[in-house]
Amino acid sequence: MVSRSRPQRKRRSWLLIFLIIPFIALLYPPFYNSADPTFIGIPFFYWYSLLWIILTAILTAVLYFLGT
Amino acid sequence: MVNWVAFTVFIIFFVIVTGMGFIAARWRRGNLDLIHEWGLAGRRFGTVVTWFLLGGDLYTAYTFIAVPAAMFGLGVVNGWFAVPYTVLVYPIIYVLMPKFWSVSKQHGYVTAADFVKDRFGSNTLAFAMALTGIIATLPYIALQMFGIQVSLAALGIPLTLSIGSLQIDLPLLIAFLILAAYTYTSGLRAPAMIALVKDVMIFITLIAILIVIPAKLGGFGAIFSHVAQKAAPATIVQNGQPVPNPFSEFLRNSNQNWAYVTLALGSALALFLYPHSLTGVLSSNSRNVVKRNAALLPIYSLMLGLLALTGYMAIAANVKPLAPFGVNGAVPALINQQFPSWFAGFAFAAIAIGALVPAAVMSIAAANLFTRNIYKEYLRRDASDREESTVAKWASFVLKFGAVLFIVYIPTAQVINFQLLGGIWILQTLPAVFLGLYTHWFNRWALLIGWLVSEVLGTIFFVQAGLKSVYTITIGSLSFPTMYIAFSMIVLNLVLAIILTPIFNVIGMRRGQDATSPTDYDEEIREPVEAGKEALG
Repeated sequence: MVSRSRPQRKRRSWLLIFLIIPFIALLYPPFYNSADPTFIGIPFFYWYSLLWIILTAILTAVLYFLGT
Repeated sequence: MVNWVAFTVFIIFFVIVTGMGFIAARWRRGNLDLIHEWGLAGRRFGTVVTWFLLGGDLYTAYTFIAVPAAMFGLGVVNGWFAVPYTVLVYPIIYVLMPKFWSVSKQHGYVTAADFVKDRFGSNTLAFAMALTGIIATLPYIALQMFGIQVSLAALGIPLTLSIGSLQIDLPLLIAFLILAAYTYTSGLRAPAMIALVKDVMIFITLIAILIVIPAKLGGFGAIFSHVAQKAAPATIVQNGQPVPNPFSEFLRNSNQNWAYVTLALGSALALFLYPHSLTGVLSSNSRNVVKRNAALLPIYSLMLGLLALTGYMAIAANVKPLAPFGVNGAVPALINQQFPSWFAGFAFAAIAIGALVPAAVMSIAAANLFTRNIYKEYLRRDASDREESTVAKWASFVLKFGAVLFIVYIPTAQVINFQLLGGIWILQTLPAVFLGLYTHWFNRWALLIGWLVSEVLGTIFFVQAGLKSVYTITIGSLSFPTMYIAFSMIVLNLVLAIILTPIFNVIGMRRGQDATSPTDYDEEIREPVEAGKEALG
């Protein structure tokens, strides 16, 4: 029985598990609920959250280029 | 007093954008008498246009007005949660939306309810999804109208004009009519084209704010020390009574932790259940465009995070919020205080145009739902393609008009509450729509009951909480942590769907026929390499 053939799909879907990282980093506030160290006057809590915007974007881009 | 310089700048940009809205009908010309041409722009947007459209569509007056206002009035829990929210939404998009795109392309779906109908073989469930989508979107459109109203007021334009003995909200009505007219003629092409201008204007405004205001206020260190002062007292006096200080700079206790985390996660899960987000996804031309955008859209989240800080800048600048908008008038007052009037005009034009784009997409998306899943399903089964698209055009008009009435007759503070309620409602479509992308295991009646119970209870809790989106549920002596109601209700919803599915299967409530096949979700429809001109498409 030949059902629709799946053409050369070597997708590395398991890599998607890495997308859990930002959830761990951001959804447990005791990790980062503090004022120090500050960065250009911005408390840790705030710049840490902003930093994760960039890190998550990079992570997603890497996964995209790895072909997930 | 009308500020004529600011007003002139505002009008110039408004006119440019309006012109673009009408010209858009001829952009990538398609037959606008077909609903997928009018309401999805023919599914032909490439990476760049999709980026502008989704960015323009997802980051709304909520971003520009409500988030900074929450930062100003309440601080971290109710304001800053938007940052983790708009971070976490993109991994979710990256995983789920390519599947949704593929199955929708394969079967020609225009709405999430189209998908649910086929997947679970249930018209009733599809109707429930469509109804939820429309009702949750209405206050969201109203919030956009509110954003326009705030911008107009900040320019000193009177909100109502007396005609005879009648008070008429003329400026808002004019803005509404312009918006309605070009949405009617151009469909989704109009907001896509306008989004480009909007996003550039917003980014310019943001950069100007970041360069000018912290420098004037003595840097971020000084700004945050004012914030710390505001957060310091344990109680404040309100109407002569001491009450706990509602403002916090950091999470104070485990209740605030729970509220912050569930607000972020619940909102992230909810965003792409909204019809306007899905419409943006479906208008793109391939699943890879969707994936690329999951990596590129966080640029807007960075913008949102930095704009949120303007709420804190307003605290440091000690502004008097623009009446009668309460905390929502804080950032507009800050802009008026810190910038010359020509730039204030530019900034308010950016905010107003920033509200027009999502308002247009939302009304189109809700109109698609009405037409496909209510009108065609229940009122006129044999509607022709042309009739379908005409109904959608009129529905978008009526929905927007409904939003205007909403804003005129309901006190402004309530508008944002209704939008929060919309978030609680829309998240309850998650089991059928998102989990439906993975499995058709659920019994359709179990999904329907889970949906109904969580919608009703969620609304009751929202009211009991005093029209707030977080609530401490207690059952007898058992008290749960304070959570975002949308989140606690989706847990309940899922538990019900999981428990009831085997029960209903046993007692013989028939499962629906699944009209999709597993390959529909992963099909890589061969696409040409997107380079240069195509990427701009």
